[in-house]
Amino acid sequence: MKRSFGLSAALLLLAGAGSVRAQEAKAPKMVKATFVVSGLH
Amino acid sequence: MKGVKSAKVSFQAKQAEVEFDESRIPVSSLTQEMTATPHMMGKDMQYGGALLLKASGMKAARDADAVREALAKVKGVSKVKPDTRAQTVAVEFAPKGEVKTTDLIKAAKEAGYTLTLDKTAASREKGRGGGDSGGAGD
Repeated sequence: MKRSFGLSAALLLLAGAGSVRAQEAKAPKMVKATFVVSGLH
Repeated sequence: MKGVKSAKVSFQAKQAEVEFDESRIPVSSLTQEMTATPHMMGKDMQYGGALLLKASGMKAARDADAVREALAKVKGVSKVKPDTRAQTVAVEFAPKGEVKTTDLIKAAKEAGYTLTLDKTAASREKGRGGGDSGGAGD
């Protein structure tokens, strides 16, 4: 599980920040996108 | 970073599925943030991210060239990698600049191709116990 730190942890932090502020959006346009991530081991 | 609702990372597929509010954060900023994330293996290594789009109808090399050419013209796009076999296109962004998914979809449409946001292996792995993922709820 050590490898789950790094990028996924960072993304989760970003997600947390986003969910708190999402309510402020005037006209949210939610998008679910896929990214190819390099550097994962 | 504002605007990100959830993120799932699949280590098997080396993909991430991110749900975000594009009225607050352009897609290019997400890949820029991935690149800026310190790598767990140290400073010599780096993460990178490319947006993956489904390009239905992109079957031949000439289609791939047309899609590549159309997307490369979008300001802020640094690299376009079409895959005719998977009918997908991976788009990388410049370190600075703001590109939205709608900019890419529009550029491809003008060239006669339909791009859609791809569904990831991270989603398909649900219930199989594959990958390593996490997310934040509403």
